Parts: sequence; structure tokens; C-alpha cells
Amino acid sequence: MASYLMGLQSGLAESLAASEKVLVLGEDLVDPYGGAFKVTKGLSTRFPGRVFNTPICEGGFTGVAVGMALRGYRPVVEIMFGDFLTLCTDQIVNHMAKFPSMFNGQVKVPLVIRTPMGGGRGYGATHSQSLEKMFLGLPGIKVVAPSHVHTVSEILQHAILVDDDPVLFIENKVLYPLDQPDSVYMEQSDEIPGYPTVAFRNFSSGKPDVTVFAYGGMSREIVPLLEKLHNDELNVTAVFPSCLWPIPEETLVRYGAQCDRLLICEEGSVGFNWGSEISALLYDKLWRNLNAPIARLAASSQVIPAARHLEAEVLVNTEKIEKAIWELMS
Amino acid sequence: MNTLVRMPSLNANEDQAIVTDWLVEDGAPVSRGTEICIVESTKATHDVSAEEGGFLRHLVSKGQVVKNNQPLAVITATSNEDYTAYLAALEQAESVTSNRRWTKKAELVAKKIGVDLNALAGRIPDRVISEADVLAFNKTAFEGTDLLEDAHPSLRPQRILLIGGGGGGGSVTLDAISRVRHQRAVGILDNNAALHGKTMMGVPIIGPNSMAAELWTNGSFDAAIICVTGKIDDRAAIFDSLKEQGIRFANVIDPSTVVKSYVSMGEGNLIMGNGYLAPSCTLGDNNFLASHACIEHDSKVGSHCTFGPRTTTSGAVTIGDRVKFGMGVLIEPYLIIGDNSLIPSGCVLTNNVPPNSVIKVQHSQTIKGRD
Amino acid sequence: MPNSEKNNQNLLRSFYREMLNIRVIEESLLDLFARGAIGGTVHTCLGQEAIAVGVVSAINRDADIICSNHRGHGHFLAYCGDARGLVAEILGQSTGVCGGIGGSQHLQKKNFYSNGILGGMSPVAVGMAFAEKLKGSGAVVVQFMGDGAMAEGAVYEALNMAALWSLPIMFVVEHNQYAQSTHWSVQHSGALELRSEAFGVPMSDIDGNDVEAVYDTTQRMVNEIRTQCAPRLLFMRTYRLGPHSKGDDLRNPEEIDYHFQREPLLRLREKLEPSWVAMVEQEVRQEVAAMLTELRGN
Repeated sequence: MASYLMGLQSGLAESLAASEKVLVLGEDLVDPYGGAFKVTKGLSTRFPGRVFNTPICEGGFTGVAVGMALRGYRPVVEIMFGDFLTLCTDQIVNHMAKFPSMFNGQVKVPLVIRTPMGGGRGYGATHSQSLEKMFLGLPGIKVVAPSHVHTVSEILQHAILVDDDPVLFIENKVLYPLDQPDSVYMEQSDEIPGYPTVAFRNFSSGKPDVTVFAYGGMSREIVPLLEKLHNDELNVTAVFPSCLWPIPEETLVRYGAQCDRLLICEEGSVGFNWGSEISALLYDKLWRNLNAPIARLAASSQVIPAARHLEAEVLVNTEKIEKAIWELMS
Repeated sequence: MNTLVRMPSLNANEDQAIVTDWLVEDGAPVSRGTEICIVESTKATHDVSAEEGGFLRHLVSKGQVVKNNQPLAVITATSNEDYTAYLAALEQAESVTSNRRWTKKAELVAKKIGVDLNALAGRIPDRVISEADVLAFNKTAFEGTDLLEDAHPSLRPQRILLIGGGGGGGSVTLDAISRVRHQRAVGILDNNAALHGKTMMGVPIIGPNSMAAELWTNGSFDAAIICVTGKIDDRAAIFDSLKEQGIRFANVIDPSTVVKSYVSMGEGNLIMGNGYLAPSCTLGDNNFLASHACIEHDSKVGSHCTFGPRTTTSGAVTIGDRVKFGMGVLIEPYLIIGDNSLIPSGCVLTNNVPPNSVIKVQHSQTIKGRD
Repeated sequence: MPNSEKNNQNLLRSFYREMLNIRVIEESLLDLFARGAIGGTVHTCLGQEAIAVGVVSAINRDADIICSNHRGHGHFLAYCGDARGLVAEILGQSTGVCGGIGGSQHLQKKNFYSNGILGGMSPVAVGMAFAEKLKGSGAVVVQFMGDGAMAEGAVYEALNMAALWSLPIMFVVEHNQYAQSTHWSVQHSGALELRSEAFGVPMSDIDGNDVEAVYDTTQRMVNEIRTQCAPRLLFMRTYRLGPHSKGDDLRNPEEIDYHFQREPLLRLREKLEPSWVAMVEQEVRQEVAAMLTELRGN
């Protein structure tokens, strides 16, 4: 059984082994340290001259990776905490995302920016956010955020080796130690090649009472909850797309159509977020089917406190999700 | 006032930790912030501090493995205070959820349909009560319905099957149904084979009208509505044939139509938008009222009639069966319109109409150029 | 005359012709802008032609790489001479080098890349140099920026990494004294030319209006970069004769006039035969006019 962290480690190692074009750069990646979250542990030893420590200049070395990608490499950048993507935003928005289409398809930028997002670890306001919503809808990039229900190693390898678009690869840090759960009631759709959407059910036949849409770290809260709800006779399908942008529209609508009560959960803050766009999509296609307004959960609109008990009040957790589900049912 | 000290959650991957040492003796005084013991998971050690001042009373011993969030100690206000009652109350409060005798789904359904769960729990002492138990307990109240077989008995809207719904009558019917919460269109039957497999406003056109019996037997719908509006004989024949097979009919009424007090109607009536059914009027079965139809107070309509848009009766009019009205027909008070009559558009009826009549209207319309 | 002198004369003539070509095209673009034929904005390099021609002539145009900025028409023309592709691009035509999508500030052809974010291309250029070093291609990356961009933090991140990793890159600073409307002296503290050496990037500070000096210094520097695989910075003093973009010039006319007396084409003409200069002037103007007529379809 491999954890999410091991999946990422093997995804990187397999990619480096598969192609000489793959390079890895970021802060403190080289052994013996092996990265703040140990995702690159062992790589610099196994692949000498292919894994680089950078100075602490996220914007600068993201630009470096863009330059490498323009000149034929397939670099992977690690940003130590997703919160620091703000420092890379000019390179992401005005360079990485623009070049392929602004230069009329004459160049490619096959670049993966990996970064851990999310709270739950008491890191406080500047090391706990889920800032991916800032990049959702940006033309020219993909935003990928696998959950622990996905085979993360394969998704990462696809992003690095196959996908010629720039990819922002979001890893929720609470997922690192989790093993991919087993379930007979799990199905996968590949509307966006290489980035599957996984649907996880807690029932064998019949239709769901509630369908939950969520991504990234939310799987840690939802998967155990499904078993509890099963004991309460509630049929729930939890749908986890690994690709946030572009949206696997057909897949999400197909699962939404199976049910007349829908809930959207995400860890990032409320307002102009993933759930806004997904609920607009689902209303557009499914409003006739719905028996209740689509429910949405997100972090409240404030900084993420450092103290665990205060942080728990701000972020979405299992209890809040369960409460929202029963509210939908009543 | 007692304060409980619990095992903290040291990392996300482990649900327990070991108490490696007590830093404060059992019964000794502590103040707020005093470090009282050391706990250790496989990855980290942690000092647990007192959140309140008082006297520390150990609940576990050194070396013991304790699940996250389970009690380690109680801080009491005096050194010899008895805290057993406090712990018992705490335990009882925490066991409420684990001792629940029924599933939440069962609770939800019981609440909606009015079943006393405690009474039911008395009858079924040996296991957790399920949704099916609740429904079985209340079975008599639901005899004659298919609620038991449905996943959402208490929540489900009436599922409507449209008969002959592939044309214009179908689209106005679907629209009317889409505007209400208590009904939902689940399928359309139509004898035009070219339409089968297609959808209309998101609803599938399943097959010919003859499939209704099979769908009814399978419990695929709760009630039918006939969308044929042109030929009265067809409309009536379908209705009679489906009734014979035991199929129930719905009344589909666009919510923009006003239905006043003491209106009574049979079944299978299809009433479109902006209509007006005045107090104490009566409709039989299987009538079709197009938009802006007005049936004034105390009027009586038989069965299988069709009313074109803006047809209006005045008060206390009596209409037989199978009467076909064109558009904009006006009917004076107290008149009687006999069965099987045909009233063309724009007619103003001022006298009774005997059965089987066809009213002829002389339209005199001359067109000339402007000067 | 001796051979070397003749060769030198030929080189100067080719410099002049290229510089004049840039000058005439930039003037034509301003004219087209004034007549409403060009949307958006146009940043011309009037007065800085010696830098574009001197630097680019000293590199290997087939293998080396250029990262340019918003004021990059001169760099582009010196690099590939594709005037038709450039002007069509700026006119928004599908035959432009980027199909009209890029426009004036966003040009790409072969190993030429420009972007409109000040300082943004510095780290990208460092990454390109890193890539070429890893490949062992021997290519050098030339990254153009103005004194205005030297206020951007990205430039210093780039200088640090280029020196840290010993990469084959030449940073070229065109100190044209103005950032948009603001004189450099009121937005920079300290000496701009001394900054790169703090990162361990050797620098040369020369007159950017002297095309021979630009050419010679670039040749020497690029040679050092290639043999030592280490970065350099070429700091050149020049003056932006035109407005920042279109007609938005609030500078003292006397100051502009002073610099017109010292502009690079005038200085180069002193070393050339007047009759040849007159002939080439006519030729270039005719060529550009013919191209514009053809592109504009009248």
C-alpha cells in the first residue's frame, strides 16, 4: 500500500528515469534534506545533475523553469508552500501561461509546478491557505489537485511526461501520509485524458441520496464519513475530479444528474471559488432535477488562525460536511 | 468545576499515543499552563499543559496507550473532591450517539411520516432500526401506494408519464410540470416511432402509447396525463383504455392558473397557464383547457372536453361530455351545452346547444384598400 | 586601401544600413500609429539602434538566443531582418511573425523571444542559459533590458542565479535615461552600473551610441561567456530620442535636441562617404515604403 507521498515520490522518480528532459528544481530539494515534505527525497542521489536546489526566489526560479521548458526540457518546480505562489504569479500568468498561445503555437511550455496547499497542520495564515482558486480559469494552464482516492503517481507522470501544457499541480499537505483507500464502489472517468475523476460510493445498488463534489484534501474528510453515513442508511456518492481547470463538465453533470441533492465542498475560502463555478455549471444543466438548492461548503472568509482549535472553526471538516448533508436531506 | 485533560492529537496519521511520564503527582496542585505529563507518538513527543488551575487527578498510569481525545486526567477544585459523578455524566453524554437505536435515515423518515421511534424501538429490541422498519411499522397508512419500493418515500414528487406527448401538447405539459415541485415528468410515450429515443426538454421519449401498461406494472410512474388535444375521440379512447388497466391519472395544472375555493375535479385534467377556475365550479375527467380558459362560478364541465385559448364561460353554465371549443368562445350564464357538440372560434353562445350540434358562424369580413 | 581597412569599411556600411533600416521602420510605425492604422501602443527604439545592431552582429545568429523586452523592434530586425513579418504583426495581420496575436511587444521567431513585462524575461533567460549549458550547445543567451527594468526585483533574482550557477548569459542594459516619463535619477538610488558586480557578474560600461564600441565589447564578452561559461553584463549609455510609446513626450525640447547631436546614426555617418550615405538612405526609404504599400494594400 502506497501513501500519497510515496505516490508522488515514485511519480517523480519514474519521470526522471523515463526522460532525460525531466529536471527538478526548488528550495532544499537535494539530499540529505530531500524537500520540506520529503517529496524529492533520494532523487538527487539517484539522478545526479538533474535535481537542483535554488535560492529562495520563487518568482525567479519559476521563470528559470519557464526558460528551460521553452528550450526543450520538461522541468518540475517545487514551491515549498502553495502560499508562495503569489511570488510566482507574474511568471505563471504573464509568462508560462501566455507563451504558447501568444506566440501563435510556435513554442511549448511543458512545465509542472508542484506545491503543497492547505491547512490542518497549525502552520498559520501564510502557510495553510488553498490559493489555487486564484489560478482557476486562467487561459493556457491546467490546475490539477488529486485527492488520495486517485493514483497520484500516474497523474504526476502524465503531467510531467505527456502533457505539453503548463500544469499547476496542487498537493494538499494533509494527504501526504494517507494510503489510497480501497473500495469496490469506486469508478473512474477520463474525460480529461490523464486526469481522472474518481467517484466513490458507499452503496452497492440504487441511487444516491446526496452527491458530494469535492477535490484535493477534502477526500481525507469525506471518505471516512461515507462509511459512517452508510451505517445511517444514507447513500452518498462523492465525486473527486483531479483536474480543476479545465472542468470535466460532462462527468460532473453526469454524476449530478443521478441525484436531486448536491453538495460542493472545498478547503479554500468562500467567495468566487471552485464551488461557485461548479454550482453554476450544475444549475445550468440540472436545475429541473434538483429538489433543494445546491449546498456549498468552504472555509470562512478570514485568515487561517495558527491555534488548532481556532483553525478548525475556519476550515471545512468532517462534522461540517455531515451536518450539511443532513440539512440537505431534511 | 472540573476540567478534563484529554489526549491531544499529535499527528494526522495516528489515533493514539503513549503517556511516557507524569510531571505532576496524582492529587498535587497545578496552575494554568503547568506542564502535567509527556505523551509520545511514533513521530513526536508533546507536553500536555493544564488548561485550568486546581488539583490533578490521574485517570491513566504512566506507560499506558490512550486513544486521541480520551481522558488523561481531571483537574478538580479541591484535592479530595469526588469526580466519579462528573465522569459518569460525561460518559453518558458521549455515548448518546453510539447508543442510538435507529439510523439517521430512519429518524428522518419517521419524522416525516409521523412514526414514534421509541414505540418502534420497544417492539424491535435487538437491533438498530432501519428505514424499512419504520415504513413497515406504518404500512397500513401507505397501503395502495408504492412508497415501500421507493428510495425516497417521504420526499418524492409524483412521477408523471406523458401519453401522446411527442408534439405541442407534450411541450406545454412538460413546461407546466417543470413549474411545480409536487410533480415530475419521468417519460413520454408517443406513437410516432421517429421520436423514440429522443428527449424533449430533457425528458426521454420512451416508446409507443401501448407501453404504458408495462411501465405501470413496473412501478415506473405514479400517474399519467394525456397530451393529445386535437382529436377528442382519441383522447377519450386512450383515457378509457388506460383506466381499464388500472392506471391512475394526474391533474396537471400550470401554477399560473388560479384555482379558487370549492373547485372539484376528477382526474386526467390538463390545465394550461393563466386560466381561472372560479369558486364552486366542477370538472369531470380528462379535460384539456388551453391558456386563459375561464370557467366561472358554479359552472359544470363533463369529461373529455377541449377548450381553445381564451374560452370563457359565465356563471352556472353546464357543459356535457366530449364538447370541443375553438378559441375565444364566450358562453352566457345558465346555458346548457349538450354532449359531442362542436363550437368554433369566436362564437358568442346566447342560447342552449342541443347534443351533437355543430355551430356555424357566418364570419363577414370585407377587406378594402385605404383611401 | 588595405584589406583590413576595407573590411572595416564594409562592416560599418552594413551596420549603418541595418541601423537606418530600424530607424526608418520605427519612424514609419509612429506615423502609422498617428494615422490610426495601429492599435494599442508602439514602443520605438529611436536613438538606440547602435545597441541593437552592435550587440546582435557580434553573436552567432544561428545558435545564440535573444530575450527582448517591450522595446524590441530593433533587436528583432537586427536578429533576423524580417521587417515584413514584424510590421505585419504590428498591423495585426495573419502573416505577422505571431499571426497578429502577439503584436509589438510579444514577438517570437526562431531563437528570439520578447515579452511586455519589465524584468520578467530576466529569469526566463537565465533558465534558457541553464538549458543550453545542460545540453552543452555552446549557445549564449542575450537578455535586453532598460534602466527602468533595473528597479524590478526579478532582475536581481536572475543575476544571482546566473552567477551562482555560472550560466552563459549576457545581460544587456540599455540605459536610455527614461522609464516611461520619469528620469532614471528620480527612481534609482546608487549606481546602476555597479550592481551586477555585487553578484559576481563582471560588467563593461560603454557608450551605447558608438556602434563599433558596442560591437567590439560584445564580441569580447560573448567570447568570455562561451569560453568561461559565466555571465556578463554590458551596461550602455544611450538616450531615447522618441517618446515612451506614441505622442506622450513631456521632456524639455532642448534636452532632446542636445541628444540629437549625439545620436548613433549621425556619429556613424562621420566615418562614411556622404555619397554612399545618400544612396543608401534613398534605397532604404524606398524599400520600406514599398513594403508598407504592399502590406497595407494601397
